[in-house]
Amino acid sequence: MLILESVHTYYGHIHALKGISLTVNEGEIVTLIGSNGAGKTTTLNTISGVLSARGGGGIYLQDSDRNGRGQSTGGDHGIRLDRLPAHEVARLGVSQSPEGRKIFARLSVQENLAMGAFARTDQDGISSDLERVLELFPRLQERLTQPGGTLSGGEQQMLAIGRALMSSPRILLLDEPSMGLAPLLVQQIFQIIREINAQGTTILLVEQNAQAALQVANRGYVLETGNIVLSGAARDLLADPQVAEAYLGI
Amino acid sequence: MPLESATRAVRTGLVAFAFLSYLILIGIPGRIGGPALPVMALIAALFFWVKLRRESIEPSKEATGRGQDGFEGKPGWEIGPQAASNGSRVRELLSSHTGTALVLKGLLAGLTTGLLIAIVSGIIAAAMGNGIAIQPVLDKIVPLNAAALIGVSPGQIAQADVSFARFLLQVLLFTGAGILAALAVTAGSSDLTHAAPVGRLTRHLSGPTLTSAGRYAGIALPFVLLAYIAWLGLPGVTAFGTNEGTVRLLLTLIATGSGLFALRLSRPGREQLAVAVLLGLGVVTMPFILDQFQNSVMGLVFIFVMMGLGLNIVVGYAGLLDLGYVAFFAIGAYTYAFLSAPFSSPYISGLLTLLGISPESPLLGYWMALPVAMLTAAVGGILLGIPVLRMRGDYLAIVTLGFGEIIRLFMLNLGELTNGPRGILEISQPALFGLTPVDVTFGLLSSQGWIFLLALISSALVAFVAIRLNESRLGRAWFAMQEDEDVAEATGVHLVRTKLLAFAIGATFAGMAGQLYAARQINIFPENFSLFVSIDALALIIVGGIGSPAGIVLGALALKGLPEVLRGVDEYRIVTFAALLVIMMIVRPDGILPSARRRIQLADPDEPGMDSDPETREEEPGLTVNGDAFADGSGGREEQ
Repeated sequence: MLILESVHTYYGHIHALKGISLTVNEGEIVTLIGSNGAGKTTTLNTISGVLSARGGGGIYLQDSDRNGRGQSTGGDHGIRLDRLPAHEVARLGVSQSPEGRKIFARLSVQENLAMGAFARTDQDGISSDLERVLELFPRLQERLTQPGGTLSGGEQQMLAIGRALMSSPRILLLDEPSMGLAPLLVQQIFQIIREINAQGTTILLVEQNAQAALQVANRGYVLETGNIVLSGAARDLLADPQVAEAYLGI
Repeated sequence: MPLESATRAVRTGLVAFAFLSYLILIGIPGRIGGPALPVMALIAALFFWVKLRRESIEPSKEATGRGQDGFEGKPGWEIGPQAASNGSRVRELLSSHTGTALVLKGLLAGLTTGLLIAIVSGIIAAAMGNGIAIQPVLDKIVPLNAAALIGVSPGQIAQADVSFARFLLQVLLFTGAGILAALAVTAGSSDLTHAAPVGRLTRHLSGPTLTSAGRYAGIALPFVLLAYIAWLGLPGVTAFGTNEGTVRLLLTLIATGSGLFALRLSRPGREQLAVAVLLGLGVVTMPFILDQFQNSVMGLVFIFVMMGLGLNIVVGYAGLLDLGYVAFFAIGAYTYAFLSAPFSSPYISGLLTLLGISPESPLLGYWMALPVAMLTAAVGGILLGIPVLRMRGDYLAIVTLGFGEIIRLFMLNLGELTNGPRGILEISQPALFGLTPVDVTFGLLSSQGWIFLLALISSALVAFVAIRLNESRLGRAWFAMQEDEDVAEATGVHLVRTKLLAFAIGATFAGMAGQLYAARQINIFPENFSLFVSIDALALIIVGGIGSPAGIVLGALALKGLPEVLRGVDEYRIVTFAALLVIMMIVRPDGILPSARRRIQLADPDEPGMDSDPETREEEPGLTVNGDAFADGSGGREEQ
């Protein structure tokens, strides 16, 4: 469904992504793990269009089940994302829950969720999605009128995921959803990620907490300084001694 | 105890007299203009109201203190009926907590002030009547104010004499002010023991349950009464019978009638509507009441309200710091000037000949020119917006600052198009169907009053649009963009379009303001559009409270109105003004009336409600730890 073909991204002159190629299939949870500075967040930002790729191949979103969302420009590959501005990528159903949550602190919880559905016009769909999000995160229901900035860290993370879900995404990009959360809450968040996936949303998950990420994911990619050094089924990666030593701290 | 309350009332009167004397010394009444004596009475009434209201709510500390000294055995007002039971009727009344007691106190305070003013002005008048050359001295210390104090117009000061009638009038006026202030307190009180005539009246008017609209009206009614007395010119009730007098009387009746009607309409839950109607009425009659100078100041204030509302969209909503906002103001003003002044530049007449229009001046009236001015300003906004799309913060401020200067220098140096520093003269005045309202209202609405009225109506429109925008999808996109451009874009906000819309809409409002400004000035010059206009517009939204339209009105009043009022303190006025600004920013750092969103941002993180509730703490300890760390409103915004 999402294909990256040798994607290069630069910060000025710094070569951050050195030809990343990866695939996310419909209905999967795929995780990107790696140490600090490996390029995990950069990869997500490049997909969502906040950063732009330079040179190399492209990023493609394949029209598998839904049609009529945007025009196909990439032949067999589907829609080419890396030439589109971020707001158009968002409109195509690629939704990102950014690292460090980045909720709109001064907007209320309700308004934050409404911002998630900004690109949509189907009122019925929006309200049914709002119900679904509030069902997933009952805590948000209690805080609907509260400004986002007054929520606790965990609630803000829930809000960030909820906001991303409000766009009714085909693929959800989750950037470090467990960052700065208590262990109990991390478990809860991963539980919810599984639930979202079970409801039919494809997920690309970036995590520092490799152990937890690999436990929920189908497949995984290991990043190191802008390159993919290892990939495979999540179960295999969990068992891989190299991964265990470097990222799992065993 | 009753003696005590009496002396306290007298002391209130003394303080009021001292306060008024101070106002006279710094020259306020002369500057305010109009019939000075009733205006002073109005000020005194406000003062009495504040004092009496405090007394009616809580026992004064002094009284409590003396009470503890054993003077009466029991402290202050709290004791009420019990203490009164062993005194005479008057004592009982004075020490009781009823409306009648308050009225009595108001009367005492007003009488004191009135007597003192009458005596002092009597002495001055007597001295002048006896040929003692006191006037030069007075004029030196208090230019224009001797007349105000005596209660005559400045022209009549030489003929001032001691008359018992005037003495009586002064005493009565201030005593009346005291009584009215007391009545206002009783009307505003929700406590039924306070019910005095006005209280009962408003209660009757506002229906069986006392709505807050009824209370406000009750408070306002006595003051409105006094203000109208001031307006009609109590000392010489001369205006009746003349055209002007008739119009004034009619306006008074219409205002009072519709005010009462609005009140009658108000039910619990609809108070806001009634208050809005009353406020609107009060404000709309203002251009008729004020004189030419006051109207010109208020016109400027409301032109700046429009500027503030427009800039607020760019700065407050979209978070784009624009220091060159004057550019759009200038574009609006010059567009209208080109279209309506006799001056015609070869470029413009050439362009018109090309289009097949005969180049006659003035081309368009105010109303026809309005959309043109707005559109031109909007185009200017987009032209500025395009090159600065990628800039944020300080860089944006510098570029916009430059843009403002470019437009001014352009006006200054393109002599053939803009007549350069000689400016454009004789810009035509807005009219309605070829008639200026100045004609229609027998001169009661001065030319500046008309501008003020237009400014009021335009700012009301602009405010309406701004408030609706704030609550719209676009408004939310602006806020999201201000919070975090990247995330906003990632949720589907078209950054380019959203930013350009903010610039264009902000510029449109400035264009409207600029056009009205050109009409107000009649002649405009490039130096009318200096950087300081931008700074003023920015300062007024910061003072008022970024993002809140009501705050902007207050900010404009404070920033553009206050310096004019302070003209009384002449050379110290800018210093005084600066000091006031500094004090204000210390006392209310988030502006006079901050918007709800800003308040959230600046609120104390430890405040209740800003944190997770206790239940959360029990359920998930980890949650609350994070909650505390992020509850400062910028929660979760650490950078990568």
